[in-house]
Amino acid sequence: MNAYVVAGYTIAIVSIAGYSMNLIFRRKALRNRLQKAKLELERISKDNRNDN
Amino acid sequence: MFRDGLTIVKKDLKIEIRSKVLMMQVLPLTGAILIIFGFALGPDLNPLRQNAAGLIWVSVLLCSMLAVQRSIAVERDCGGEALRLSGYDLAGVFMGKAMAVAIEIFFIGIATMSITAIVFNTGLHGVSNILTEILVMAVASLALSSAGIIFGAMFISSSTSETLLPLIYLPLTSPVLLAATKASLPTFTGVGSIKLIWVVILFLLAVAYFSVGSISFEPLLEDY
Amino acid sequence: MTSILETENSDNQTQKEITLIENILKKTGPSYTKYILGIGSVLTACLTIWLGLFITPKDEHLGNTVRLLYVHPPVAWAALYLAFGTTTLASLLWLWPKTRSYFWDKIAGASAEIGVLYLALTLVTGSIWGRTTWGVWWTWDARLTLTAVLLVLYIAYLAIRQLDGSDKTKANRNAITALFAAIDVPIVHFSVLWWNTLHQTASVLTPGLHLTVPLSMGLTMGLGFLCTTLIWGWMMKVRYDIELLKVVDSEIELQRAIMQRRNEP
Repeated sequence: MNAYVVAGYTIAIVSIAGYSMNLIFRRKALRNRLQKAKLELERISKDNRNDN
Repeated sequence: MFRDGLTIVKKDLKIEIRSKVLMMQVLPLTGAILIIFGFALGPDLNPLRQNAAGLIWVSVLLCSMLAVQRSIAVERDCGGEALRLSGYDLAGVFMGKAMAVAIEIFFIGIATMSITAIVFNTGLHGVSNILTEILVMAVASLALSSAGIIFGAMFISSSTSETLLPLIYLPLTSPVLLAATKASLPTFTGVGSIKLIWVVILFLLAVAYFSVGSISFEPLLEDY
Repeated sequence: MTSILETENSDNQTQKEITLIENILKKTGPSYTKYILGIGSVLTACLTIWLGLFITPKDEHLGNTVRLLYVHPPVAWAALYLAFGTTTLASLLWLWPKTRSYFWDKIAGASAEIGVLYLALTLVTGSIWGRTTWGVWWTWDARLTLTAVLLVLYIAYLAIRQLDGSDKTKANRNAITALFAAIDVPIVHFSVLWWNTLHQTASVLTPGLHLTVPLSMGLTMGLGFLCTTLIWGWMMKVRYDIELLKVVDSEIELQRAIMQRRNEP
């Protein structure tokens, strides 16, 4: 194996994997945020109903 | 549409003639850029002479960006929506502004050429070359100004227009620079004659940018 | 009176928001498409790497360097044709009144982002290839120059996408920028080709690619193409999900701000 080939493969793998991870985390963070928002909204609507 | 364009051309050129920004600021800037090139590549005249065509077009490119920014700033100062509310046909407005800036760039280009011919000691070779060079200058000016006006208008309300405009403008107009430089080489080096293909490429670019620009100017300003 | 009405109103609003969130969570949650694309990309990637690095034979002229060919052309194909082709097509579909939908704008953006990553990889792997076979990291060869111009253009495109404005202005802006970039590509291509044929410096670059390849090498390369395509597909799906989630998120945020305003005395 030569160093250039190893370097080429490594760079390709690392950057593609890195970007994929970044995508996954971004999606996860957004989903978590929305899940939290949903729970809070459910709590609010429950409170409202109880008030009435 | 064309009449509106003509009105805009007249208006913009009148503003330019009155304010003299082009004469008093942009033109001296060309000189400054040429001097900087002199420092970077001189004092030996040979590299300067060999690269004169490229240097001219780099400085024209940089100055054209300023001309575009200036033309857009005029509109911004009286509110971006002024153009929209003026009742002019927007395609006509685009044509007018692009034409006005093209005329300005053309003059800057001719001036740069003349200064270079003197200070870099290149001279100008061949009458037909010089005539073609003037044509090249006119066509390239139109290509540059069309691309510039579209993207200038795109960033009219943005706070980062100073950095964004060059970022898109320079790579976008890189074929203009390439073709114009290659077309200008014989005039300055005196070797060979102008290859027609570069003039054709410039024509294609000018036509493409100008026509696509006039179609896309309206959707660009729709919401202001 | 008004207070009851208001609570009822806001309760309705809350219900609406809850269903909105539920829908989007379902839409962006696990799905067969994503699993198939994801598992497919990982499998083909592992297989390509294994075959490419260990199984396929050395080339008699190029030696081990030939192994870069299982990475570079597939990445280049995905960047130049798949990603930017999609961006251009999606932008045109946005500009065409009959097919106008924000879907296309989102697709164009997602594809361009992936394209920039792939294009950067193309340049890096190509540069390594150049260093080993021609002895230089960079030449002003037509393809290289075109790729470099494209990379800067699309980075600018991504920067333009970040500008603010109304949704419609933004989408128009993005599509027009993509259109200009797309017009530029063939012209840059031909002009740099001409530039090079006039200079005759690029002729060293031809050997190496016209080898008669053994079957295993051809298959591995084909697998590489499949792999980058699958990865592109998976990334597109996830990137598009993120875009959808962002829209809902900002909407919820807006509603919350309105609610807060309303509750203030």
